[in-house]
Amino acid sequence: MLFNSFEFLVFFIVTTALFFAVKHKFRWLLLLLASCYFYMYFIPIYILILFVTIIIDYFAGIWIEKSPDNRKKTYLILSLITNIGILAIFKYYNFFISNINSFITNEAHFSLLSIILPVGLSFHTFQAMSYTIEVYRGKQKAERHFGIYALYVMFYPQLVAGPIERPQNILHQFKEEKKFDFDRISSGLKLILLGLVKKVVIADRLAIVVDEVYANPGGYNGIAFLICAIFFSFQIYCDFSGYSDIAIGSARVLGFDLMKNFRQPYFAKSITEFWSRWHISLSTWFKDYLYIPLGGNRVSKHRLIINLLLVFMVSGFWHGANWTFIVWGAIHGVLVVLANLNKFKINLPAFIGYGFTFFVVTIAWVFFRAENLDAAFNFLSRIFSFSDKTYFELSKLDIHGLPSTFLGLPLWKFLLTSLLIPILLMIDYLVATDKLAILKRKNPIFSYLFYSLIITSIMVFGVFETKQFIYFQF
Amino acid sequence: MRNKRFKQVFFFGLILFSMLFVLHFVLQFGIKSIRIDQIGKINAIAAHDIDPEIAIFGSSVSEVGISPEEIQKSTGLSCFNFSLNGTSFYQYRGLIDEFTTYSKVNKVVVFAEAYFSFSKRDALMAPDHYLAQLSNDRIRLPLEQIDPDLILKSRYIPFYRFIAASHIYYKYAAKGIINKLKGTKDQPILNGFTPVDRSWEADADQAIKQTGKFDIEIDRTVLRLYIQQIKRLQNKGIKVIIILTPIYKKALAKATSLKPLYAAMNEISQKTGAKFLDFSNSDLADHKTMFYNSNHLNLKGATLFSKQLGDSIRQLNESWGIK
Repeated sequence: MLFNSFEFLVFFIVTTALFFAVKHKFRWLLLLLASCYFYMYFIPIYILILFVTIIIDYFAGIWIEKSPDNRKKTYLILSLITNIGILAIFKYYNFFISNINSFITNEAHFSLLSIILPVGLSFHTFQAMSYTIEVYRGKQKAERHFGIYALYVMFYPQLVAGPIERPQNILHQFKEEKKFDFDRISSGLKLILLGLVKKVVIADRLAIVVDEVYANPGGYNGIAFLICAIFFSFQIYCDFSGYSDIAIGSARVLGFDLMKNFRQPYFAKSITEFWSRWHISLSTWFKDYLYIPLGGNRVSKHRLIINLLLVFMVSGFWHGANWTFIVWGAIHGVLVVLANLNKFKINLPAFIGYGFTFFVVTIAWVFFRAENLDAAFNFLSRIFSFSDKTYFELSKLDIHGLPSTFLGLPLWKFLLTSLLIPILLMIDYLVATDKLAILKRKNPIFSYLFYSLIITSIMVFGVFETKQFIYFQF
Repeated sequence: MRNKRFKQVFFFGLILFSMLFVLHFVLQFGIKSIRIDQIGKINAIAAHDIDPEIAIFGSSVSEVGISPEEIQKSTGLSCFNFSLNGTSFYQYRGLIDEFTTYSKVNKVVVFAEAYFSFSKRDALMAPDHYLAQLSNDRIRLPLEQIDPDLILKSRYIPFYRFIAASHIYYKYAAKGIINKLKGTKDQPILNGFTPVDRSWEADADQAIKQTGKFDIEIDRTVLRLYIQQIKRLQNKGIKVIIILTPIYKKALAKATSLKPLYAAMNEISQKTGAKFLDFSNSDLADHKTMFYNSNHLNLKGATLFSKQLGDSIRQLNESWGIK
């Protein structure tokens, strides 16, 4: 079920109420059953895949811990092969076969699998792998309680789209008794509200414009593509960070602390800083489990370049089985390489750093959103077609020559949609500088009115027409 | 401490629910007063406001294609066009039932159909147009059969309508509130006729060329409900005329076969005795100057067609003894 659905609201209220009603020793079971129900709401049969990986990784963790040093690696490899193997079959098999088939000129093509990608496969697979790797490294004791381990993989707030947690952060939390804490619950609910504003009010409204231009590229001029690219930058940020906020807020209500996943990424002054602020749980996962094992930055310059490019391309590929994601990752890899190799530390004004970082990230997002490389390159060529005399014609004209729509919307709606971006930046600024806390010090009636207005705005201005979260497809 | 927390939750809940309640009632108050456009037609039927001697029901092809004024000139009877854009019989039949419960003067109902009228839809068209009238069982039941999830939630979950409503709902609600404050009242424009004064759209030719052959779908459930509806009207002494509106010839030629459509019309005629008038191949259908796209008449075409239709209705009325 989607976080922005009525069904999730009911599920969340019931689960939370039962969580605090039952005794502590049964809470893990309640959460596990709730998480199973949550996952099975999508495609029930796919829970079997989750169970297979849980069983294998549970035993792998114990065997790794118990085994002599020369056997530990065997069980680690077993765990990694299982997880990566399942990911490969469900997510990447058709991609590889399609590419192989494109080289086969006769009719002896390999057949493709007709399967749907299990929701959240990439996320819970990585979370499971981090467990066995940490046990192998000796940084985490193997969990003996099967139910607790299963809950670690399946905990519903972060099951389908992260944050990708580390066992050291969360496993012990499942064993601690969580008391009913009004302030913590209040904080969690506020974070959920913030997430909903970002997702249903901002992201899904920007998506209307983005989808229109990507679906009808022939009907628009250069400026429309530029605006669409900017809108998508904020759409994907609000969509994904909104989801993370709801996930973290939901967990916080229950008493669990999940890691922060976004830290106002568009306030980054460099591409390196951007990656310390965007999808933090994934970037740190790749840093700890791929980049550092490859040598990190303690290698030769040439090896460093290869490592960085490889890590970012794999990260891109993690997002989706399409060349567009690999190119997206490669672009970021190149940018990070250039940033790392930059010997001339020129002090530029901050706004140039913000502007340039946002610009290159936005260009890269074009590949992320496009269906294929041709569409992406065509989109970019339209953005940079400054010689086109119609470049700045934003509106479609009606038969009388008067502006009728602006990127598929009436003018007033287009302007209001555009206003969402400075509103978002203001929200991010207030959150980053902790200025929202000022509400607590004001008259409580002011605070109640403010949050009542937020809830009403979500209901009135939100788009609830079953728009899935973008990162669900990963 | 516990008392303090309880008070905080209580006052927050009080403020939140007060805000939502006030908004809900203000919007309901505003939107129910609207009598223009699609929402206006639905509201007028629910409020039993409009009672014409000739009532026209259909989708956008009749909404833009039939002028009640021309029908009135030809027949001498009052006429109103209740057609709703994009809405099939399967969805709007509840409005017909509601209309017949209060109508005192209605003598003739005209069903204006196109080749797509008998297909079953699995999604509601403009559900928020009906949000203000969900307490009306007759209007609500057909909607529930199409999208039970949305309609039941909108009916029984407090404030769910805010989520179901689009900006159109709020726009009309605001208009209704402004009218009430000014002391003015909406009146239906052109008796429900929504003429489109445009010539043939440049990309309509392209659209026809790119459209492949299509099958005309006749859903048996829709057909059965259609026949039942006609019989209910006839039981109340109302005469029923079914018409096929003009369709641009080149677009109609894309249908693989018109046989299913004519078979359906014949079945309806045989089982109910309702009069069937086929204008799909009228002389208007030859000329794209009468249309603004393949299915929809423009103002010029609608005026000419409405005169033809009015004359036909007059002749039928004379044979039925309706004056």
